[in-house]
Parts: sequence; structure tokens; C-alpha cells
Amino acid sequence: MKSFFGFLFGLACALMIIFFAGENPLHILEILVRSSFGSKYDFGLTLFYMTSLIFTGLSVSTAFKSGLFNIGAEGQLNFSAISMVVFATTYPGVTFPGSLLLILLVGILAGAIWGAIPGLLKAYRGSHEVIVTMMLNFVSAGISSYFISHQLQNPDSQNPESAVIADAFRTNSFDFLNKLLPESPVNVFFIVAILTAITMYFFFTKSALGFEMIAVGENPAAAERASISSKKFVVLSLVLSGVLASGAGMNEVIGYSGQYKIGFSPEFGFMGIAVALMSNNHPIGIVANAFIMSVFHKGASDLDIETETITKDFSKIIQAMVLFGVGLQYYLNKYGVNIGWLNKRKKFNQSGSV
Amino acid sequence: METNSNAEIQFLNIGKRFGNVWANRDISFSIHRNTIHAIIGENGAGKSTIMKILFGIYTADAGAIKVNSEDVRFSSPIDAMKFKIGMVHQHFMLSPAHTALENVLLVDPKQNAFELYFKKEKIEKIKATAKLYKFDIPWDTPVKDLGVGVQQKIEILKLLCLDNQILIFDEPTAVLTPHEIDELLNQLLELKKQGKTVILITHKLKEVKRIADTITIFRKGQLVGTYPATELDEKEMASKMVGKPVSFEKRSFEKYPDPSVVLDLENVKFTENNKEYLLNFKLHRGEILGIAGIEGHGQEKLIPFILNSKRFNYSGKITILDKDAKSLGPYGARDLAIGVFPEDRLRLGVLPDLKAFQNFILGYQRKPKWFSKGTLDWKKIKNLTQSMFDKFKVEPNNINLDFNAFSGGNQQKIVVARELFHDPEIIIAAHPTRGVDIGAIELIHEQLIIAQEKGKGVLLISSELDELLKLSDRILVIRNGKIIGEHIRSGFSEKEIGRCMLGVVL
Repeated sequence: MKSFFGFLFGLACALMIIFFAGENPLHILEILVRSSFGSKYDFGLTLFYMTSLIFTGLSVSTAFKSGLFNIGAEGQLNFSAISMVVFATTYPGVTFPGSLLLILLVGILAGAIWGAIPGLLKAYRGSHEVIVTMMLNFVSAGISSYFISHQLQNPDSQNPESAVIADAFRTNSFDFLNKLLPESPVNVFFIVAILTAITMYFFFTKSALGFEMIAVGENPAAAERASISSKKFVVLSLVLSGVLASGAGMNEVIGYSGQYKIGFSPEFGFMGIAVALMSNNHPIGIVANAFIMSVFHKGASDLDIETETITKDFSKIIQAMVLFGVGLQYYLNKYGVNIGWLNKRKKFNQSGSV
Repeated sequence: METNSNAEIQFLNIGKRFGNVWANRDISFSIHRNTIHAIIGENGAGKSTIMKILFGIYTADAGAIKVNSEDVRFSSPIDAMKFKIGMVHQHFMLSPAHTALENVLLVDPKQNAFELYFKKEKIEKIKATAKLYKFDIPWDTPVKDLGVGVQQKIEILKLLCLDNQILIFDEPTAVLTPHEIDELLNQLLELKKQGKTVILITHKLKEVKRIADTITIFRKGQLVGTYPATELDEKEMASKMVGKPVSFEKRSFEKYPDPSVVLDLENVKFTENNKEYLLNFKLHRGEILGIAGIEGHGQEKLIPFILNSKRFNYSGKITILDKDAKSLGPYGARDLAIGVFPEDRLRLGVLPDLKAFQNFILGYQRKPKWFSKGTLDWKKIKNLTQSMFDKFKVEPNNINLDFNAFSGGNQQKIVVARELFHDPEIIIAAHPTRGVDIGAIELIHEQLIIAQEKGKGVLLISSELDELLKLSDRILVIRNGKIIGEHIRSGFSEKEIGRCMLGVVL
């Protein structure tokens, strides 16, 4: 909750900009709230975005924990999604319980592979993970474009998308969350995402493996002395990061549409970076911040329609201001700077000695 | 405090605050002309701070300084230099690519941008100064190829060429070998003979005793007092620094009856970064085996090699607690009862940004002791950490603080507590008292002696010869990656070990 004041501060700044742009800030707030909570459908859509953001946020934060910057969550979720669609269209005959298990396995494996490549290159060849993951984003986008345009194009559609995969591969038939918020894309993966966040929390606080991963991130030399192989953990943490990112692909393919649409992800992978940073890599904070980000993301399109000046691009400015606010708070806390109400006041102690 | 009108420098009620903490409080003393004035105190006692105020690096928040009875207020070292005050910093301010002569020429404040650099008379003046103070310097060698001892001489010469009258030395012997220390101390006496005032910041009491005329003692940011050097012996100095009596008891050197070997390196040979290492020694139960050597001569490879020899491509044989190192699992020697105080605790021993109790399991994070029901039991870990904090008197006694928040001595205490917690049979202590205050030094030495008395094997790697001489049963010297000399306690000679470290063959 440390970031909460920062959040309010950022929001206040954003509303001020809106005010100078000639709109009524209260009106904007009202649109934002209505857009994300107004109806069952709207709320469901917000939760759907939130699901993907939890997965990508966890993905980025897991890499951060061991000192790596994974900007390839986008590519990882993308590669996982296309792999699942390719698998399901290649073997359409697999029957129900096995089919779901297999497609999940394919999704996880695909994410793991897309994480392992930068991991192995970093550990054993010294390539910087930022460069490699960034390039792999393009590679995975290229691969999916190839499959959609040359192999899987849905003949009934003008859009660049695959045909819908068989129902046996999807969760729609037993999805209670989807029935609760009908028509909306939210699905059982929302629950999975929350559970994953809780699991990651316990992984990092309660297991020796999690502790070792943090140790590698905090101080690789000391970890090496403690007989923790930092190379092994570079690979492991990027693989884990890739697997977590693949959850966002499953949310779309298995949970919701059952097809691969080019551009299905509005850059969830990059929004995940913001989510992870805002929550200082804390898994539970990621859930909260994924919610905030999804509210703004959902509200952006409605702001575009309903107001004169606030375009889709302008709403990015609002998101950015909130991000800056949270980031500011984080640094103020970290470096012990006291600025009025932004921080808890520390008692000024004159009698202290060295 | 005494105020003397003849004093060259007078500090009057100086105060300096960093944030909420007073680094110096109400400091008043004076330094007389043509004396060697030692300023001693533990780490963080404020001795460097007051000198940095005098040299204009910091400005005082309270009080005044008088130089030759004239009120001064320095806002930068340039101001201080106008009053003929110079400082030799702990980290040398030399340009490594330039030669010794060029480095001295560089500091001339009157040098005009369009003037010739290598003026004959200037060079001659420098060389004359060097001769006057008996400096022997290879003028045309780039500084990066020179040893620290020579580099320090160049640094001092720079100040002398500016005609400085007052010379401040900040821990000048920290980086030197015994032989070089000897040379430096003689040099300082020479400076005094030539009429200079020398201010020496240090915590090595032996050197103080040897050359200082006056001693000022600091404790916790406050002045304890200024004394003529003849009035105090080393023990009294130490007690005044710490604020309580300090024992300088030496350990008893009755040979432990158990001659069994706990660590055995047999003709171990490996090459790394084109440097060859040849290690050959045995560590017995109940002995403290010292490894002496100038830094960077291979002792830094010793710990990683013993801990995880599999990562090295070596010939020969290493046996740890009767186990061939080749038979150890991926965690290497960490699976055995072995405790290590790393040579650089912040870089190699801990996770500085995590809490103290989290650091307490680093290196031992897989021990079943910490777990209950298969998960890390932080409550238990905290309790155990707290018990060790109490035992080792860590200050502040708060296990929830970030590791960074502790002072050097207390950080080292935490590391020592962690490594001794599992009751190791072998203890490898590398520079265990580096950057550590006297109280902690005492405690750490005591722990090593207790371990030795219990029949553990202690390997003590240090560059402080005094420490090795005080504690070790045997001392081995390592040079260029090779163990070259063995010295038995009865035949210890500081000079001979020092020569051995420098590679002077007799």
C-alpha cells in the first residue's frame, strides 16, 4: 500500500492535465468508472485484461527478481498462443480431458522455449537478455504472421486470424466465471492467474529455490560463493518467466476466442513491465496494479468515443502520469526523501550519534 | 580543552552533521607546528570527518578553525591549499597512464595552458625536493606499473612540491606491506625533521606509538582527549578508543594433541587467466594456519577453489574432512561442515539489500534446520538469528534491518555468527578484521581461538602481518599463486616473512 499515495498523486496530475486540455476531470473520472464497472459485460472485459496483465506482470517480475530484464513477455505469450493454435488445428481429433491437458502443455512448453533461448544465450554466451528478448518479440510476431497468412487463415473471415479450434481444447463448456458475467470474455484463467500470483508469492518467500533466485538477483557473486550457480538460475528464471507469460496466451486462446487473431494482445507484455515496476515485483501487488492498469486500458477506448479532446493517445498520457506517480513514490521511499504528506514523516532525531 | 596561542591549527567547537547523525560534535583541540600528530579512533568515530573539514572537503556546521591564529573557513580543498595544507588520500589521486614525473608536474597550479610543460628548472626543482626528503622514484615509469608504496611516495611528493607545510595522511599504511610501512614511517620522521607538520589518521596503534608526538583520540564523533604520546601505551590507547578496557591477551600455543588433517591440498595445480596456481598444504585439527601474502597473489582463488573445486580444471588432490572433493555434489564443500568468512563481505558474503535475518540463511539455505513442513519457517529463522545477535552483541540489535544499515564491524559480526552457527569443523577466515572496529576485532579473534581450542581447523588468510603473528601456529606465504614458504611459530620473524611476501629470496 506504499504506492497508494503515489497513485493518487499521479492521478491528480493526470486530472490536472485533463483540466488544462479543457475537459472536466470529474466527467473523465465518471467515464473511466462507468467504462470499467458500468455493466456486467464491461466489468468482465476489465477482468479479462487484468488476467493477461497479471500473467505478464508476474513474468516480468520473476525475471527482475533474479536481476534480469525480460522485455520479451510479448513475444513469449505470442509464441505460446500461436503454438497452441497450430497444435489444436494439427491434431483436431484429440478427445476432451486429454486435449485440454495437451494444449496446456504445449502452451507452457512454448513459453518455456521462448524464455530458455535468451536464458541460455545469456548464461553461456553472455548475450544481453534485453537485446535477445526484444529480437525474439519480432521473431515470434513473424512466425505467427507466417502461420496465419499461409497456413491457418480462417476462410470465413476478412481479418488476419485463424479458424476457431475444436471445443475440446477450450474451457468454455464448463466456465462458471463466464456464465456469471455473460457475453464478456472473462474466463477461468482469471482464477488461475490469481492462484498463480499467490503461488509465486509463496515460491519467493517460502522455498529455498525462490530464495536462491532472489540471491542471484541481489548479488550474483555472493550467490556463487554460496554454491548457487548463477548461470543455472539465469536460465531457470527466464524459463519461468516465459511460462508465466504464456498464461496470457492461454487466457485468449483456450479461455476466450479459441483462435489466433493477429494483434490480439494490445502489448500486454510491455504493459506487464509497468505492472511489475509499479508493484515493486511483489506478486500480490501485481494483482492490484494489474487491476488499475486494466481499468485505464478499458477506459481508454470509451474516452476516445465520448469526449472531444481525450483521444486514445491522450489516455496513454493519463496512464503514464499514474505510472510516474507510483514510480516517484517508490524512489522517495527507497532513498528516504521526505516530501510532506507523500511519505510517512520520520522523527527528526538530533541526539543521534555516529 | 587546551587552547594554545602557539598552535598552528586550532579546532574550536567543531560540529558536523550528516542527516540526523552528528559525525563530529563539539570538537576542540590544537595541533602544534613541526610535530607528528596522530588522530586515532574506531571506524566511524569521526576522525576522517574532522580532517576533511580541515581540508575543505566538508564544511563544518558549527564551530571555527584557526590556522596560525587566523580564522579560516574553507569551502573547497583549493582554499585549504592556499594555507599550505595538503592531504594524501587513502585512494591515490594519480593518473595511471602518465609517468611518475608527469604526475608531479600535473599538479602545478601556476601552469599556464600555453606554456611549455616540461620546463627544465621545474623538473630539477622536483628532483631536488625528492632528494631532500630521500625519495627514490623511477621518474619515467608509468604510474600503473609502480607498486603502491612508490605511488604513495609520488602522492607525498606532489604535496611537497607545492610547498605544503601541513600534511594530512588518511590511513596511509592500509595498503602497504610491512617493509613499505617501515619505509613510510621513516619518511614521515624525515618530514618532521625538515620542519613539516604531519597529521596521521590511523587505527594502527603500533605505528602511532612509534612515531607520533601527540595523540588525539576520537570516539563516536566526540573527542576523548589529546595526549602526549609518551603518556599512553597501546593498551591505554585502545581502551580510550573503545571506551572500555581492552585485553590484548595472546592465545596459548600449547600444541593440540590431535594431528589429524581436516583439509589437505596435495600438489594442486591449475591455471586461470594465464596464471598458474600451485597449492600444497595441510590443515590440522586444533591449529590456526596463517596464509600471508600481498594482495592479488592468489589467495583470492583459495576460497572458491576449496569450496567448489569442480569448477576448476585442476590436477592433484584435495581432501576435505576425509572426503575427496571430486565425490562432492553440486553444492560442493558447502555440504560439509565448513564455515567461510569471505574476504569482501559486501561483495561475496551477503545480499546487502535484504534483511539481516534473510542473510542469515545464505549459503545454508537448503539446511533442513530452517524448514518446517517443507517450507522455509521464517519465524524459526528469526528466532535463531536473534539468538546469535544476542550472543555476538550485534548493534543495533534488530534483525529486521537491512544488512546495509549495519556498520562494518557489525556486518562482519553477522557474517561470523552465520558461519559459526552450524558448528563447522573447518573455518576459513579471509581478512576477517578488515574495516572492522576494535571491539569486533577482539570478538572475532576470540572466536577463532575458541574454535582452535575446540580442535577445529582454522585457515586464516590475511594481509595484516600483525594479525597473523598474533594468532597463527604456522604461517605460509603465497606469492604469484604459489605457496613458497613455511614459518613455524617458534621461528617467526616479521622481517623474514615480509621479505618472503615480496619475493626476496635469501
